[in-house]
Amino acid sequence: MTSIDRIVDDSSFVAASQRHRRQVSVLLAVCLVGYFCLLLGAAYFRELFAIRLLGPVNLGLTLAMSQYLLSGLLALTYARVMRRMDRDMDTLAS
Amino acid sequence: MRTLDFSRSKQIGAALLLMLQIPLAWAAEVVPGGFRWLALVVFATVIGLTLVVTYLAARRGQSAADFYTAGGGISGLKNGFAIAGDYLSAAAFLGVSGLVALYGFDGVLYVTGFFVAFVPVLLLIAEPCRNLGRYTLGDILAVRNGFRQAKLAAAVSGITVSIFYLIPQIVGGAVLIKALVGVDYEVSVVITGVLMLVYVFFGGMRATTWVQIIKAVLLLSTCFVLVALSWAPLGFSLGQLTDALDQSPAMSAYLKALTGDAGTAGSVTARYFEPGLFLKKPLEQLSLGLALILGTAAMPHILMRFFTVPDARTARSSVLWAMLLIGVCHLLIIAIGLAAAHYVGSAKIAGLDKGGNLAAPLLAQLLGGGPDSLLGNFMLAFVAAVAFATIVAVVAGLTLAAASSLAHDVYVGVLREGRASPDEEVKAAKAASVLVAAMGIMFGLMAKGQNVAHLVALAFAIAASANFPALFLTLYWKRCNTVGVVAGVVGGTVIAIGMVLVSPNMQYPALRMEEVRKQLQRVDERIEQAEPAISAWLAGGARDESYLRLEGLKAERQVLATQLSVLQAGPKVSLVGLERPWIELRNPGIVSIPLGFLLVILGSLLSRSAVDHGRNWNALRVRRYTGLGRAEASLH
Repeated sequence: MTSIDRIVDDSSFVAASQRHRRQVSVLLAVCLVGYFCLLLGAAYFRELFAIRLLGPVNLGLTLAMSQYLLSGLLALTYARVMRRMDRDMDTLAS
Repeated sequence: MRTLDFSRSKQIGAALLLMLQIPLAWAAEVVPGGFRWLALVVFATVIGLTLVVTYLAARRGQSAADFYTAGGGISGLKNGFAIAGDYLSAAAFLGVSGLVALYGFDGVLYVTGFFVAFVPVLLLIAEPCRNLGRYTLGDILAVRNGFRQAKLAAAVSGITVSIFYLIPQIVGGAVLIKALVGVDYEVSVVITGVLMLVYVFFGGMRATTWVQIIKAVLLLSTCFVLVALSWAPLGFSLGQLTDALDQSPAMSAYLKALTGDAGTAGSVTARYFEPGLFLKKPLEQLSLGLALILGTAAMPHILMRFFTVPDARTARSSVLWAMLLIGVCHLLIIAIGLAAAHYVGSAKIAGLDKGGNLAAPLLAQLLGGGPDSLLGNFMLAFVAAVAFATIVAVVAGLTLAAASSLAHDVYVGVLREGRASPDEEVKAAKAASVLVAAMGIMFGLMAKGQNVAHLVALAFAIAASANFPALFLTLYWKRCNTVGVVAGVVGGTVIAIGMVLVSPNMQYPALRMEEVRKQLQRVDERIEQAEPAISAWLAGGARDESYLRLEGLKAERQVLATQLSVLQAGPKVSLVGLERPWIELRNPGIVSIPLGFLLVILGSLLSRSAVDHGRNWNALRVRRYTGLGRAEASLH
């Protein structure tokens, strides 16, 4: 367990884990806000959702489908963020 | 398991069987008798393929690690396919394409939650699980909490979730086999149950993984072919398809009947693209959405997949692959739903099955040349076989998850306090899989004719209210302790189940009886109105349409009267002795999830645990990121 004690006190571990927590919180918040905006909009802002954008395709349908885009982008951002984390952890563990 | 109390549910089952004949009888009208052999051949081929894979997997020795995690060496891409195969259920394939075909926007809204749910899985759960756990959720909770208490708590809620999720899958599979191949419901349940047992018992995680990969490939390619065939005549243009639906007189007539809206054709079809046709209660939708996006991250069969990869980075890449595959599959399923509405027609789909589950099979039949063509029926049978493969893969994952928890957490962890030889552990795991399969078959038989679809939502709600708060706070909150985890898991499970027991999800014979009486009254009135026609006919008139209508009404009256007498003979109150529901909420999540969190927090704060949390917490943080110490810790 000595290696664990060493890592915990390492200032670069503290910095990396704080950065990681901040970044993950932001990504998660964007995801939750996006999804609940869709649910709340479908429930309480139906006139707004019914505004037509392109032929019969309206704002609501566009927002619903954009969840796939948003979640995909969040996942890719996370993968990018974690690449730096991986490097930091490799240095620490070695 | 109180929702399926034996004697009571048998009576209710008998009563409901009469009422639910429509969904059970649908395929008789869909597959002409002469083409049943085709369905049988396709089914047998798919099942045969999975059995070959199981045989190959079983030849490669079976240590405990092989059984639980396929040796832990699965690649990210393979695990991504397996997660997709584990997660995409028949409800997603048949159910969602049907919801889109019948209700447009609301179907799309419903399915997005199942995809968004993977963001929390990726951000919060996948990598820490791989770094902290070995075989089960119980392993993770036991890292910093009391060993036996944490394992027992995790097993209770984990097995409950798995079984609740298992029942609708088994029932769905059996209904599918019965409908397409013509085998009795009971035999079909046993076939499904024995198949999942064979995969898990002989092939463990290795066979289960391959069954899931095969299913994911089959499902994705089937969806792709259906979309390609149906969208080609429209030049693969979403705009052209939506315009066609928008201007379709059939769609307009269907929506007028559905909504009672008598507006102009253009304004009525717009409703198809707007919210409100299916999901009428905002609170239910929020509640279900919350349960979905938090529950997925704590479903035992999904968590288990993260133990099969060599390291946290592979766990991460496997979630990314899974998201790509699940996302593509969802988009294809939405496209299938829209195409089915366009080609088959929403009214026809709703006419054959109220839930719309036939949208994809009907579209396949139509694209192949219609109900009288060999190709059309081959495609129908193929789609049905893929749906069955879908069910079987999910069911195998669930059986394995429940059996692992039973063997690794309850037997080895709680009863033997972690001291069991590897050989004993494998034996326990195999015995547990037999037990889980037997339970699945028994509940499947008891659920005959019952509407068990709401158990899926309940499983997600329990996972989100019991497992998720405990798992999340164990991973990320310094002060979390054993008392909090046990309070949260037990409390979350009890609250979620308790709320469903007093909700409108249960069957209320008294309310149902009122409804049947009202229907009977309406039919009687219509018979009275139609009566003059029969006297006219007797007086020498032609045997015209109104006469036939009268006959139809009389038959309807007969069915209703039988239902009423069955209801009168049965119990007068619901399973928990209520005449009417206490609460209106069908999805408990919005209440039970915050309470689950609250219980973990209060339990942790109010108790003083003797364990040194500073040291444990630091070790957990380092392991969460690096996986250091995983090998030693797992040798409990």
